[in-house]
Amino acid sequence: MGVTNQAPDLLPGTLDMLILRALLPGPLHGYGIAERLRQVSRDVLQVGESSLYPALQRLLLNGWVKAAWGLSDNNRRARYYTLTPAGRKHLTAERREFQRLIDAIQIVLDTA
Amino acid sequence: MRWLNRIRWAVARRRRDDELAEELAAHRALAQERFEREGLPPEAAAEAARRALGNATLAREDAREVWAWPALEAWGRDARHGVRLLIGQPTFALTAIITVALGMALTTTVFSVVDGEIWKPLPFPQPDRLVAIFTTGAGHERRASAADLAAWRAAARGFDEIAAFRYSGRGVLRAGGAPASVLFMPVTTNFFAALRMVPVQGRAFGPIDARSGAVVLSDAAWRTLFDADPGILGRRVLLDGRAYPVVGIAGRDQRIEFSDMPDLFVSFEPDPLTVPERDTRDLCAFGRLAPGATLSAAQAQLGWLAPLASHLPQPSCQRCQAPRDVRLEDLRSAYTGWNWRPLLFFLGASVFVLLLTCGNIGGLLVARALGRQREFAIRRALGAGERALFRQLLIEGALIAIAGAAVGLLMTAWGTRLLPASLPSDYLTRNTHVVLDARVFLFAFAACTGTALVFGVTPALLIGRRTLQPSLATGGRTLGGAVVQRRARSVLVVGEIALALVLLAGAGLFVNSFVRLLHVPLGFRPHHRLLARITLAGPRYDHDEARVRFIDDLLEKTRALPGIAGAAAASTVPLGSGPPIRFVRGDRPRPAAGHEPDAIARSVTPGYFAVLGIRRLAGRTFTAADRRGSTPVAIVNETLARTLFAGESPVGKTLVLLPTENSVVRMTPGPVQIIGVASNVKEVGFNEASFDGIYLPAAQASPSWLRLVVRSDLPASVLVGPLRRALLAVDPTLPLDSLETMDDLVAEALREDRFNASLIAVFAAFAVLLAALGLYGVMAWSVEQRRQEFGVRIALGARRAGILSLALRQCTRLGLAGVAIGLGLALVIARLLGTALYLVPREHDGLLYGVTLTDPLTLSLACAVLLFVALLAGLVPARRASIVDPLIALRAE
Repeated sequence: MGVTNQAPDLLPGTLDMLILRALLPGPLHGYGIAERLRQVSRDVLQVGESSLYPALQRLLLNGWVKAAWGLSDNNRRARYYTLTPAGRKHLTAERREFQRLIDAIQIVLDTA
Repeated sequence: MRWLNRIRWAVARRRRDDELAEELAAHRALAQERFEREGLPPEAAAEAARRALGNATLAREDAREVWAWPALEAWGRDARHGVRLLIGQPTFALTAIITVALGMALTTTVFSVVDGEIWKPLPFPQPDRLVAIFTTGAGHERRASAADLAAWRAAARGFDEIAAFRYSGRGVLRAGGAPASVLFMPVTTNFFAALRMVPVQGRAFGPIDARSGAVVLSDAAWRTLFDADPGILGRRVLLDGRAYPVVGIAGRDQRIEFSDMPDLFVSFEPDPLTVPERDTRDLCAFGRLAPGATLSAAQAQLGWLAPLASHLPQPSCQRCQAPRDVRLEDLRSAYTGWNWRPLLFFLGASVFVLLLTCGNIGGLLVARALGRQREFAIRRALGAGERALFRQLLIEGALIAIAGAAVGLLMTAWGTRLLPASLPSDYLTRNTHVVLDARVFLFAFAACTGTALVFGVTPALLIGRRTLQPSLATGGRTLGGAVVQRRARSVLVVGEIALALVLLAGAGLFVNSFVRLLHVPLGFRPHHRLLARITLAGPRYDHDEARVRFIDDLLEKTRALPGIAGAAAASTVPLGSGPPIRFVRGDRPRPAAGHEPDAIARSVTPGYFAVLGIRRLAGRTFTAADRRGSTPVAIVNETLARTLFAGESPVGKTLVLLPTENSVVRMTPGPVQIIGVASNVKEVGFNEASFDGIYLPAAQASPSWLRLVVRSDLPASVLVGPLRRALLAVDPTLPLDSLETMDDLVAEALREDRFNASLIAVFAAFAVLLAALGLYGVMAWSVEQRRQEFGVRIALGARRAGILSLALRQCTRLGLAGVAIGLGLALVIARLLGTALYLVPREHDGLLYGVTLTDPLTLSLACAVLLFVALLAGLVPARRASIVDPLIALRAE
């Protein structure tokens, strides 16, 4: 497996959206989020600490997620992030916006 | 939300940081577990986890930067660094901070006094709604009559209240104990309601007090006259023989500020139906604008009312014509701030001193910044940007400014207590407690910010960008830096010398003017003359005969006392002015109404001129034969004789006195014969345009104010007892207000000028000291830089005297440049000030007397003194240059 610190070039703001989406089913800790993104994207998106944690701080600051200390599956102290209602709303809006963008790009690629 | 979180997180910064570290550690541990599960040995797993996750510190930093204020942290770091640097150089830090503190304290103290006098709102609720109401038109009167007041109150809609007061007068108060002379102010019953001022004890006046009148005491009077007895409320006191109940007592901090605080307020209601009162313009009217009403609308409405008053029956006195118009003015600016000229002048001078301190510290900081080129080079090599270095310089300047401001405010707290106490009595009109309030803090803050910017930015700008990015290769010993520094510091020092010259020239002018004032002829002899003030009050003295008899008895008793060489009485004495009366020449056509000449009237007893040593220039003086019933006579002063009888002898001519309202000299209108001419005396102060004056005999125009002048070699303390007993023997109900020497009076008249001269002298001394220190700093540094050069010169045979003059030449150049620029600045300022500092008759008093602002002697003296000081400041470093040991200097290479 390739060792990268960064996720492959993401569109700006997409990491925040992906994290919020990863939290939609339920609370996760930072490592859990990175793992979820990796597994679901079939190892394409490998999010390193240096982009994950600043992103998480940003989300916290904006009030889109909440954090609380809890115990992981193997009894390790970890910080769990939960989606807030504001975060849920933000995610919906972001997804709609993102979809519009993707559609637009698709149209350009298909027809231009 | 976002900002709230930021602030919350910034507060708990340390904890968040720890949490983040723990979280990252947990992340790594979890990753390591995964690698172990995939079959890697523990050590390899740890290594893989570390590699997979990258630079943990960078991650932490990046994450932190999301929520922390990196800029703020950098400022905080620089501030800590700056503090450490300052602590490391205690001498520099102390010098800089104390210099700034002195400059700040001086400026802030002067500001607090000026603000309290000129700009601060009056101490009432919504003071901006209070407006003074003046009548314009007829004569010079600005005051209102009872008829005006009644008309305004009946018809004006734009006001909550329209109230009035009369100027305070002296009266005799009796409340069981000994009679006391008090200052009382008659005010309308809605006076306090209009001001919204409620006495701390008792109540304010109300409509109920309209008929019988009532009294509200000031705190000071309550304490001195009634020993702070709260039982006085509701009791009756006798003021000039009339009984009034005391209904209220003002608090210690309750002042009215737009007029001297009287000992007591007496309520009255002007009667618009009685004839003299109806038309007499002796009311100072003011009102409180109704909510929503504007000053211009209210003015238009009152102005519309004014002409209606002319339809009233013919006014009873000539000078009481109906007002043509009405003018409204903010109450504060109408009645206060007339002394703004000296105050703003001194505020300006103190700002000059503050600028000088800025220049001084700026010079020190430039020197320091250049001395630290090596440090800057290292910081740049380690990645500090240009902005970071700039920020650091700014912060270091700000630190000094803040510390200086803090110390300066402490000094101000002390200064504001010291300064008002040393001010001449009439200097401040509002008698506010000068306090460190929010406004002063705001001013100090603004001054501090300004100086911080100057300190911080000046070195950075003067040094220039290039020097902020030196390479390490030059090793911090750069000739380029030396040139830049010399230029930068020279500019500052020349500026300082220029500012100091302006202040020094100003001080020179004030001292010069003061010395000239001391030699002004007074027109009377003040030595060995004592002055007693007596108030003739009460119904007993309503009649002229009673007053004349009292004066005769008192003079007789006084002359009989041992050690008295002469005694006389008068309504007022020199330097005490007097009421103006109007008159016309009996042998000439009468000028148009309102254009008759006026003169200061004084009622005197026959011995007055002899006792005060006032010279007689022509004719005779009053005698006992000039009594009631004989031909009315008058003596005029030199100025009146010259202006009204140019070329002719006034003796034997007739003047016709016109009816004039005044409560000081009770004269009968009609013709009086001039029997003599007396020399001029100073009427209000040393610096005055001479006034016209008329003397009337006390027997024909009895005074209601009384000044007893006694000529004696005995001191006041010895005479006060016998004089008091003499007064008691004549009338036990009258108090002796005060006893002072005429010398005191003269000193008091000079106090303001003496104070002005000393204040600006202090400013100038401080300025010269700062400029000298600045010059010394530059010279000392420059000599240090050129040490080797001097060593070489000496080794090659240069004489020590030559070296000395070489070093002194630089210092002279700086001094001359500063003096030249300062001279130009002084001339520009002189042009701008124009006549602002001089007496302009009927416009403003003078701060300066007998010198022009460009007085060549004063200016050249100031230049000479400053050049001398500059040489002195340069002499010590220059001497050090001349005794450089060439061996040591060269070995240091």
